[in-house]
Amino acid sequence: MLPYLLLAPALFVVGAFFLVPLAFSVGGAFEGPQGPTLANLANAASLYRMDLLFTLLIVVASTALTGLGAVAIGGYLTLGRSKLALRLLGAMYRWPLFIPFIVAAQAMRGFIGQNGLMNNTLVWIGLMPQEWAQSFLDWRGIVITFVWKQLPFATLLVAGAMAALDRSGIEAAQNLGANRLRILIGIVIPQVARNIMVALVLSFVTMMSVLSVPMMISGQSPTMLTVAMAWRINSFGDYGTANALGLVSCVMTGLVAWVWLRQAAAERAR
Amino acid sequence: MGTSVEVDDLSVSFGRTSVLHGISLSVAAGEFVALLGPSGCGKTTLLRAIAGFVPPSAGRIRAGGQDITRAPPEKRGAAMVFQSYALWPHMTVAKTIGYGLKLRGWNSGRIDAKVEEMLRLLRLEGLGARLPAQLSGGQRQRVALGRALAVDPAILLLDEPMSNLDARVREGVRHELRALQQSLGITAIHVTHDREEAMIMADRIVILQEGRIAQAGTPEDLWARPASAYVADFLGATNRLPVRIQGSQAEASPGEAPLDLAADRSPPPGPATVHFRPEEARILAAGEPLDGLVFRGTVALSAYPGGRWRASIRVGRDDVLVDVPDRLPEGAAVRLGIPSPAAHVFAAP
Repeated sequence: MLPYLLLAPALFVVGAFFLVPLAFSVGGAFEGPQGPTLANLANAASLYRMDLLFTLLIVVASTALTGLGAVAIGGYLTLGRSKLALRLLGAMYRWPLFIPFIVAAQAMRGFIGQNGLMNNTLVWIGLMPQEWAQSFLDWRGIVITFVWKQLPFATLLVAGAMAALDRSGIEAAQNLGANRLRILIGIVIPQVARNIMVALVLSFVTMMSVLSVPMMISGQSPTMLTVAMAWRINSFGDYGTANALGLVSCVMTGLVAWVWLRQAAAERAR
Repeated sequence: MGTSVEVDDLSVSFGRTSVLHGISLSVAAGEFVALLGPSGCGKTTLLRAIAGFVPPSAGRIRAGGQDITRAPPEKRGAAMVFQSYALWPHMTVAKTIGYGLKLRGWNSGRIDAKVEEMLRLLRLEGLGARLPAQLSGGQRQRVALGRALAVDPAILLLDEPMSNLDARVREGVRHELRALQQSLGITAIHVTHDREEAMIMADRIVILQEGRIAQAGTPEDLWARPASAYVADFLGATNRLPVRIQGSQAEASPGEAPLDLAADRSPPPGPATVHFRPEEARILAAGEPLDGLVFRGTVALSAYPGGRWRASIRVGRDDVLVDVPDRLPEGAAVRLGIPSPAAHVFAAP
């Protein structure tokens, strides 16, 4: 009896705050004024096909860049030789973890806009003429913000796994003449591949669900599905289409999770 | 073919803790040297400094006359076999052995041929496609050795590579490794805390004590003439009994003849300690003379570990162990004789 009692609060939270709303949303995607319908899905597909593609491209690109960055930072933390650089990098890379997406987006607006801090600084130190200054407040800004925000999280997982590797395995490769890039690619990454996948899947899912960043960085069309959903609800009270868009997002993240789970299961079977 | 290694006045510190204090050591090309000592004596640090994994705070390391003190590990021509074997869990045996060759730009045909040769040499035929998790401890150890030997290193560094093997396998591997080193002519430096392993395998043994060389020499020299109580104790002379030095003579029990000590082996007059091995002491018959030290004691216990009896003899307040051919009755009064070559006398601590 005791195990069930201990489990009950967790089950209640998952049920009440996740499963029930999810079921309502999924149900809502197929609900019209005259009963069950596929019109919401058709509406979502016809109106927001470009946004869907835009979302997918942005999140895939951001996930890939996050993965590259996490491997690069984790790799340097594991194989780097400069003690000062290691200490600085180790201390600094976590900072964005503690900044909410909305604050990151606001900070990024001030940084990468046409008259933002980045352009002004580059012009001021003479690295770029004023005419070259352009705004990054479009899809590039969303990708930059997502990567900046997710990189610490992914790095935390990847660098932690790298740090837990048997150090003598790295030394053995070094001893045989491997340089650090070869050690990273041939020895370190294959041993932490699962952790990298976990970091990427979780980052993908997180980025799919962020509203504030696309809303604040680039509200123009095409935009991300989260903005489209908010628009349908706030402007039209159209919960049906919003739910259909939510279902599409859910299917996209579900597919990614499924691919990862399949791979993890195949690895365990080996 | 091997190359010489010279370590000159080498010191290593970790933060404020000094681990090696001015070690000087010379290893000839093709020689097998064992670094022997208990945990924490600095033997692995010395090996890792030679391999390039630990930066020295002072001193020089040369290989074949070339200064390699600041050279990165990959430029030293030394291959290391790690205590944990350090095999890569995702890599097959064949790929692991061929890894160093791939780094050297060999084509796959040459790599395959060399890997096959190593697999044969190390009796790993047919295991090339296996992952480390599918191998036994002895096989893993041989793969680690194969990976190091495949690149034809001038220096082979062995960091307790047998400590994870069971006793029966270890016995065979010692002889195999020594034969292999001799046939390939590689210079080998072997870290171990196992005295027997060092004695069997090495041309020369270097005993380390708290980051300094306590004594270096051939196994026979160290065995017969330990320079200090620490070395004697580490080389199996674990029995200790108090003696008194008068002039150049050591006195044991009253009424027994004193032992004349050679001038270079005599501690200063006063209290001293004799160290001896259980298998080198004897029980003497009443009145039997001996060129050595004789103590009177009683038998406290007899046990049979196999082959011969081991008796615990109480002398005064000390207990010592002695190997005897027959069981001694407990409580019996005995004369314990330590022949002169087996009696290692040092000033009392």
